[in-house]
Amino acid sequence: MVCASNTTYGHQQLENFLLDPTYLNFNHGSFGAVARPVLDAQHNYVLQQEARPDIWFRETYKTLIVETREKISKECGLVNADNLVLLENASAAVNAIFRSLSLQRGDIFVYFSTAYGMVKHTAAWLEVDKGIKILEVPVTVPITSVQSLLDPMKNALDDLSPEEKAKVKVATFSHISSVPAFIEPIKELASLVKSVNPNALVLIDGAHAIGQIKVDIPALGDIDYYLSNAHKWLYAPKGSAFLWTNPEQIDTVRPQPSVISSENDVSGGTDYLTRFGYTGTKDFTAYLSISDSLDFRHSLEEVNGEGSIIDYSTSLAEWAGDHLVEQWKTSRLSPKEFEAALFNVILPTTDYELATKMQTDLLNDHGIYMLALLDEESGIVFTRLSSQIYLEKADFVKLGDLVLEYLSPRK
Amino acid sequence: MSSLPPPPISSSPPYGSSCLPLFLLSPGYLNLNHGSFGTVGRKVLERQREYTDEQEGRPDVWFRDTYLKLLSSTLTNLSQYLSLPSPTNLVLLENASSGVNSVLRSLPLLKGDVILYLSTAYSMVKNTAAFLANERGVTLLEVKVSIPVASEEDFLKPLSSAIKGMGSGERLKLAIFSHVSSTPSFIEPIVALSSVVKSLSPKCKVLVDGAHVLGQLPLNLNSLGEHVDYYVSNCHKWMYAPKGSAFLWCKDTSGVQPTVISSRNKVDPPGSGVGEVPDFGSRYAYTGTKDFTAYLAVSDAIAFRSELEGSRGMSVIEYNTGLGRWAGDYLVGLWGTRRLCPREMEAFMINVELPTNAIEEAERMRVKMLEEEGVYMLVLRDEGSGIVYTRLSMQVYLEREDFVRVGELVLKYLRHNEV
Repeated sequence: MVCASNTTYGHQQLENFLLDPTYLNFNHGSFGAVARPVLDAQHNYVLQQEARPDIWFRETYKTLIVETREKISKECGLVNADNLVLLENASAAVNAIFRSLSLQRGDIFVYFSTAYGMVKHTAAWLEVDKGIKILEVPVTVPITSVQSLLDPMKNALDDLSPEEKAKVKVATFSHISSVPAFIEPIKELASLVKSVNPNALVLIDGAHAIGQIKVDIPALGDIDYYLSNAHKWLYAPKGSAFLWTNPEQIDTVRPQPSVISSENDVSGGTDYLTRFGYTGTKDFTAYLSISDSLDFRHSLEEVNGEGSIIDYSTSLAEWAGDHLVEQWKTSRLSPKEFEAALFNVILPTTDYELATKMQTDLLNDHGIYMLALLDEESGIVFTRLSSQIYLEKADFVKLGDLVLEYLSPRK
Repeated sequence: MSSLPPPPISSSPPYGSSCLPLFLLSPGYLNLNHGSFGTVGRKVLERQREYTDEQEGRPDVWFRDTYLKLLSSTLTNLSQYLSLPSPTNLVLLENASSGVNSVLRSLPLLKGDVILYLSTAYSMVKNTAAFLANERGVTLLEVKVSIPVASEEDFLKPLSSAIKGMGSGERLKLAIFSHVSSTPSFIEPIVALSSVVKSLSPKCKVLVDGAHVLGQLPLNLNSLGEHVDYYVSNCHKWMYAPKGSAFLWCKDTSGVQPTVISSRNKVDPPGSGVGEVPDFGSRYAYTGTKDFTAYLAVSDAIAFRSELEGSRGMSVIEYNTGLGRWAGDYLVGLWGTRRLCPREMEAFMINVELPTNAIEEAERMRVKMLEEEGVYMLVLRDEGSGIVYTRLSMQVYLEREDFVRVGELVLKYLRHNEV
């Protein structure tokens, strides 16, 4: 059973990760970080795989993966693992669903302007390939309440003609958007879409969710797909994610993976779990390691309390957000309740180029990685920061000081 | 069944069991099925772990910068290995299945277009084609190849007939051929096959599923590229690279999209006039966050192979092919059976009919050999002919003695059943 060697939150947690000691990571959200004992477990799987490859791929892996799927399903509040499959990342999940839908010219894909670039690009491909139409609903930042999201979506959908409403094929919402990062009101958004067209599919891009907030899929209401990356906030190795599909439409819509494999008898109707379970020979050990990352987290929470990883990260983020907003005399891009471990703070400059240069200089001169970003529509220059169990208040104090020092004389 | 005098084992082969420490196979496990899942070189895996350590040390620096630079040099190394003038039309991906799906699922195929493949095509190809039949209404044309195969004509004749037999309104758009088929494993005459296609149907493109080729046959994509349009091969099968590494080469890369369109792959909407952004290589370089270290280790695999061959004074191709010729002859003689094709159509994988025509009996034998002897061998049945056979994979960690042992074991287990 994999467990943490050090269970104290804060800098001591660096012992459990592989981050360079000279690197101060304020951007855990982009690429995640694998926990050391989880990586060790993964290495072990690889050794098993290489010791007797046929046995691994034909038997051992297939048995072990069932347990992994069950554990992650349970973590998401599901009663069983029947509708949950593993894949390499959220991009693979979205591509799998989007590109295996039975589409007609004029079918409409709906999403906010805050949708992740991958979602937009994949939809753009379908626009070229299949003649679908895109309804991108603008979101203005800063947002002030759930209405900042619900109203534009409601208005945009209401404005569709009856023919168009019938053609709404899939609405994609981020559970936590990327840049800026907000927790979106999924249940209400799903209801909204279904009230306009009960046959429309609702896909929740929860890429950032698992490990950052509590994910309870049944509680999210009338949704059709839920996906999340385990390598972002769950401390699993790179290339691990899951996709849940609503059992009501698993056999009607028949989602197919991005790679149709030798084990997927399309004509014969291979079942959902089997067709997603093998997509050609690859390294599946990252998927299995999701199980170990859950054990790792459990070992920390046994000592620090259930939910403590999320609590620590979220309260540190809140404290840091408040501190920076005060120090820099700026503001967030949303109410605090929309943020968990990811938070957005307007930088004390309106010069995006300067902010970008600062991002580079902070890395090269101080080993600090922070994201400098621009919201195109509003012109707001901001940073999206990630809180983590290996960070402490002092780190954000240091960041705040350095940013102010860098930007003040050059404002 | 005649019993042959035991053959000379061989004085001192340059390869053989002395190579086992170079890999990570379990001691006491005799792997006669390298072809299905490959094996990574120990040193190559170590290098891959170093990449992972770097990735985890500074993740943003890795994914935004370092990885991309290393990928570029890996592609350069691989393109040189393939005799390509540059890596422009070459990308890495996780496996041949992904490569084939990538091409098939991004071609602008229309209802009524015809996709052709031989009956010897890998089931992944057939399944993906079936997906397209559902999705886009393409028509599938499977050309039957009879087994056993006696010559190249056994591929070329049926192909020619099938194309000539197509209706006048039917549009042949894509032909897919295996360079080395899977089960049974034959080297197919892809240049000749492609010529047949292109002479009868000039607009038809040719996709070669070379999943088994890199490391097993010499591969000059520069010259082969004159005849084919797309080429896919795994690196993890015969090149000792880690699992999840393969490449795709396209003569014309326009419109070819990876199976996962990512945040860095900005596809422009129709009519925007901007054209393809970004370029082919960039579309594939990042397909969402995942472990790309296997791709980078292809460079290390090439180096490993070169070192291995240098230290042993014989190429892997020469050793494995020679061992396969010998082992096939030996087993055919010992069991009183036959190959499923001429010897020249085999490289590292040989197909030898088993001394039984009962697949269940052969399956029981396979299980016993694994449980009692730690030997893994594939037992197969060809649907068309009913032939029960084994496909055996040669490798540098094997030697003649291993096939003498297997030959005896097969007889022991099958004779035991006869009693």
